[in-house]
Amino acid sequence: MTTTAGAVRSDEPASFRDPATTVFYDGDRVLRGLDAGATEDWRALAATSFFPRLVAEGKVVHTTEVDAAELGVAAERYDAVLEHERVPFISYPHEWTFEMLRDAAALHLEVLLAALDEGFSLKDGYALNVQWRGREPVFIDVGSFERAAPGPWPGYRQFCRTFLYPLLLQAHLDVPFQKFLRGHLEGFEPTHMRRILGGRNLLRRGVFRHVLLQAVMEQRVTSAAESTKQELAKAGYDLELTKAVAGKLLALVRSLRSRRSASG
Amino acid sequence: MLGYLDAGSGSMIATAAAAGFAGAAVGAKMGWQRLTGKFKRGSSQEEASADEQDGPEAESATEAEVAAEDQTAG
Repeated sequence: MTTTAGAVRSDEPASFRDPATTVFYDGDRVLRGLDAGATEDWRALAATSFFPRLVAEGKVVHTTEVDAAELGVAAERYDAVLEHERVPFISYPHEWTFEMLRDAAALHLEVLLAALDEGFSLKDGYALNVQWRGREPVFIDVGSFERAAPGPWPGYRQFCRTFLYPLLLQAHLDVPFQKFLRGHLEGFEPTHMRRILGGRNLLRRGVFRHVLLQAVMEQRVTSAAESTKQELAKAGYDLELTKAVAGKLLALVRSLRSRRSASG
Repeated sequence: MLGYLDAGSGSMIATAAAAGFAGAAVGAKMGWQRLTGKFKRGSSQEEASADEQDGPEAESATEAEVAAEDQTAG
């Protein structure tokens, strides 16, 4: 498709997970179309103090709202359109080193903690939410910000699968995660990790809490996720508990070291 | 909103334990609410089934009374 300005417009084929915010390109410009709910979230986000601070610090990709009419985008398709700074190139977690994955995980949690302080959260915990600008990680999924609701962070499971488990695999067993992650783009299953990190490895940092407990609960609990979230919120699961989880995860991630990297 | 993400109900409960003592207490409270909820549902179902058993008899009794009244009136 060609726009009035002559630039080629195309949808990002990988942007299908969240239909509320869809990435598309207009020539070299990276744009994101928002539906009504996502537009409300974006305007509330832009009014916070943490979001511009994270952008200024280079931790979140620079983002501005642009005039959809000026772009020639059909008004019925999107309620608002954002323009993102373009990162040099897209890379995948299985292409990163241990330290890159660890720094990206830490950044993801720092962004989540900053958001929680002002009543916002992230919809997911996918490793591809982070990309690289030179040697610095940058959070690119601005569409993931939403106003927080009581209950557990829904991205916890995905964060464990795509960030934490690959890090634990290499830190605790000295097994490079890249080849395994390349075959499992959605990350590792808790039940598989439980088998891999069984026996005395259960005593290693983070394994009992984030691997064993999760694997056991996944096998035993079969109720719907939405109703479980509501039940936990009703039982008193508030944002302070989500902050506690994110804080413990951040301390764990920062503590992980790879013997392989240390030996050169 | 969990619209596009499989957050995993088991993982959510595990998150409570991962939050420490306060989270574990919330998880235990939810477990208790589920347990007592089952008993409540069980007793309300028993009441409902008792009503259902009473229902058809009561209806047929009412219909018989109406029919008797009609015959008397007729």
